[in-house]
Amino acid sequence: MSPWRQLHQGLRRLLDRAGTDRDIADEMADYLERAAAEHVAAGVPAEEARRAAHLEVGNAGAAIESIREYGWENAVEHAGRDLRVAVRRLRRTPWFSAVVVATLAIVIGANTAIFGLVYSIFLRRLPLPHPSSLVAVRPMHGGPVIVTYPEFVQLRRNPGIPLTAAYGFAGMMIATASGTESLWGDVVTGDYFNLLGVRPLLGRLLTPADEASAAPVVVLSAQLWQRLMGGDSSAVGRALNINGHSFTVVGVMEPSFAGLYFAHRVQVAMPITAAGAAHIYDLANYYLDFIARVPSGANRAHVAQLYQSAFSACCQTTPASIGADAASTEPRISPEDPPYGDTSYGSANPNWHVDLTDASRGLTWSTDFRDEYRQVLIGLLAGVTILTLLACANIATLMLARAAARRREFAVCASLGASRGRLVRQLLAESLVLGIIGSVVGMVVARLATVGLVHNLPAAAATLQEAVTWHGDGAILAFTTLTTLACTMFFGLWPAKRATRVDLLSSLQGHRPGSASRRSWVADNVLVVSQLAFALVLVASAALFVATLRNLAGGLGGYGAPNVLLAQISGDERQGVRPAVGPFAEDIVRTTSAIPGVTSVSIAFSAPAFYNGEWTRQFALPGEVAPQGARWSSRINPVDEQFFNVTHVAVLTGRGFSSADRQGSSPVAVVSQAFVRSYFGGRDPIGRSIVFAGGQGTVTIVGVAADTKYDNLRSAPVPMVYLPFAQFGSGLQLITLIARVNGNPAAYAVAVGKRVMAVASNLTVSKVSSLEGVFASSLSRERLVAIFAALFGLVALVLSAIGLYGLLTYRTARRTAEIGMRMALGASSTDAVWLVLRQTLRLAVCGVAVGTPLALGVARLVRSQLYGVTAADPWVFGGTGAVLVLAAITASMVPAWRAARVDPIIALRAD
Amino acid sequence: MGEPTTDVIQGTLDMLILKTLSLEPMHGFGITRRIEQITRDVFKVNPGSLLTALRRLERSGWLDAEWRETPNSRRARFYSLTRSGRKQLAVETSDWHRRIEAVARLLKAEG
Repeated sequence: MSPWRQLHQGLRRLLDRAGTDRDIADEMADYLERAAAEHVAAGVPAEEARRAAHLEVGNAGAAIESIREYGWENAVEHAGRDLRVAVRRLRRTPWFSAVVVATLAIVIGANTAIFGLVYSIFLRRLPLPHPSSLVAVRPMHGGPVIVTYPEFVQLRRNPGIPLTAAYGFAGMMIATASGTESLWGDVVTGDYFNLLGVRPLLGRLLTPADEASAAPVVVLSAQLWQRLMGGDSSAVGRALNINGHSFTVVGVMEPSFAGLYFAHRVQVAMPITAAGAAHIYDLANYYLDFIARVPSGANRAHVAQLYQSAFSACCQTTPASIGADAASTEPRISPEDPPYGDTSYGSANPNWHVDLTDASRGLTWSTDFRDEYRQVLIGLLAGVTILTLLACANIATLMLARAAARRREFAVCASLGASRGRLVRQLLAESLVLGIIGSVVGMVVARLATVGLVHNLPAAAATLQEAVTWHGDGAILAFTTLTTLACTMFFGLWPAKRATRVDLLSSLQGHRPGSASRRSWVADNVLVVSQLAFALVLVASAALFVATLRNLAGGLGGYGAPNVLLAQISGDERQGVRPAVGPFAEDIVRTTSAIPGVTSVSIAFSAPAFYNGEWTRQFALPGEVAPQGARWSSRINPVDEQFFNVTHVAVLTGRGFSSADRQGSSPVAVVSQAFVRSYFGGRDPIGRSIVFAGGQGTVTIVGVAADTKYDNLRSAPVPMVYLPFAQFGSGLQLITLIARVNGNPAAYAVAVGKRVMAVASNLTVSKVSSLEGVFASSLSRERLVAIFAALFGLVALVLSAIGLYGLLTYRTARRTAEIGMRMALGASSTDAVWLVLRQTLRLAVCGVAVGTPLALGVARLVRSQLYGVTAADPWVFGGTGAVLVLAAITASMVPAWRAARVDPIIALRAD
Repeated sequence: MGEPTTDVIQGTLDMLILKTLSLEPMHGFGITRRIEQITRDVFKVNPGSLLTALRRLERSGWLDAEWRETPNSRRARFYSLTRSGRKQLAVETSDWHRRIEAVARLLKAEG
């Protein structure tokens, strides 16, 4: 066999049908002529000889036809013809085609958009050469171990281990034309870029020579280069002031490289030694992370062994401990996302061991980041699957009704010899055409949806949006194609098979199509009820997720009002020192309060929902005994006397702070309810003392404040000790300003900045944001889910209403004669309306009855994602059922109206 | 009993065509007549099946086809055996003999 020859000759025939047809005809003519010539040679007269030859050959036309039928190209030709006919037919019913294409576009668009998320979060590889050999090297000794730069320098001298690069992060303040930009910068060893295989867009990247000489040089990400220098190609060689030191820009990274971490873009990188020299990074104390290349074919366990002995030879076993274990933490500056989430991994193994973690898809700040999104995406995938099933059922209903109208035509075709397969193929061609157009439009919808999401999510989540944006990757195209084919088979094949199961006799005799088929009546009902049930599931989930979002955003009571402005104030980094801001607090409050439109101002170390680092202190309570010698520690927050008013954190018993609580007067404290629950067992704490460890003072509790949330809106309230700012805040280098204003907080940002900087020239204002914006960014995941769920619910509701409308219209049209008869016998138009409405209500109630248990089941599955609403909330489920019935009644309006306007005379004559 | 059947035994048409063409290149009608003559009219070949079979064999690479001018200025399609067609004929012939022997043995055993 020769597939090449098959292909070649088949293609030639496809391209030159007329020529090959002539060939066949010529060959047949030659055959006939030779047969006739033989008879003539035997003495038969010419005319008779020709007849004899034809007799011998039989039906020459049929023979030619059978020769033509040979070859794969015929299947292609038939398909082409079917598709052309399908397009012509679909153009004849533009409304039907438009509704189906729109439905498909929405469904395929939603599928593609969500697969795009799955792809970019779980599947996409780093845009680096050979990403599969990249591993993160994580030394452990009971837990993660702090390995510092001097230790790493020793480590990499070990010849046994593969080439390894180390990196860390440091808060950097870059002086720009308009002020200071604070960001997390990368500090890297000289091999870092070479090992990853990143190429420069401009200039060069960092080298081992830079590390050895601690050269004050930086490379910028393409994005930062655009932002700071407007993409100026002469940027190389320019100086940048970072934390008060001058660095030379030597290059720009290629734009495709966004860093090793998911949803956290690399912005600027400098040699780790230069960062140490400029006091940006503490080489002796800060811990490093490691990246290496280990070919995926290599024995990784063996490589891990090598690392193990190398680490144990050079490094101390100080476990990296952050937070509760530390004796007391000082407030720490935090320009952006805190990169300290990744400390929870590890094992209880008390010996050295080294984890080699696959880094081909990028690393994440916190180990549970992908787990969190996995749950969200599983939910979204489930939602989109239900929506897809619903839409396919919907289109199948429409296709059935359409095919039913063509029964008589099919019967004629069948009686003329068309096989059932041929008819099914023709109907499938229609589905395929719809599917293809729908998927193309769907891709556009998906792009728009993704872009829409990017604009909809808050600016603070920009890195996340960027990370989940995709650009027509092959995997996504393949996914969309497969989805389209699956949908087409679902909504195309079954109606096609059912519609072509024709009973020749009854169809041709003019029986009304399907009028006798109880089976098809049941099937239609099942389709519509399942659509309603699916819609109920999606609408109920949407309600639950929207309620969750609302509860989370509203979780701080009156504080959540839209007129709160927040800002961070710190000492100026350009001078390399951080003067305390505390002493200026009173002046800051006075000048900012004087801005017209500002109603009240408060100063505190941190504000609820506004991440500003943690400050914890260990303490003892005279008269209370800590269980089993455990050390008690609590967050502390110095606040001024306006704090409780401005934040609407209620003082429940005792008093708040006043201007009398100042330096020199007796130290006091207000504690949170959670503190009272945790340490006083709920007993009245007023008048009791808190003794801070390390001789840091004793305070008397004068009040109890309501719980509020500081970091995560979902987390349980933590114990908090509020201290008077005047007594405890004076040494702070970083404080938070909270202002209530009239109107949009963003309008006050510039004025607040100016007034604060006028107080003292070395103060910097950063992270100026509205409380709403802060909520929005900390709830970006919940928002994503709520937006998608709401969209799914809405689309599902509309689709099921369309499906119901289609069915009712079709049935009402078929019963026109019956309704006419009833009216002729005295039924009123109200009776006719009721006829349709009764059917509607029956279907809707069935839908609710089937859908509610389903929805309850789905809600149980997503229980962990909900907040402030139970998985069986009666309001949600009752309301959803009501909405569904209402939608069903709306869908039945037009058919009911038509039924009421049936004119008995016309109706009876029509048949 | 009616007339004795003249249908080509199923699956053997290809072999008959290849065998016929192994002697010399020929057109369709020539192949029909040659098969009828050699088999002494035991087999009659239907032109529709013959021409379809020729196309199939050509696609498989066992035959080459070329158009030649006929004396009365018509075109005639002449088929000739290719090298792989000759191999295929050998395969089909030995296969055929094997099957014939098997059937013959079976019939003998029964007799």
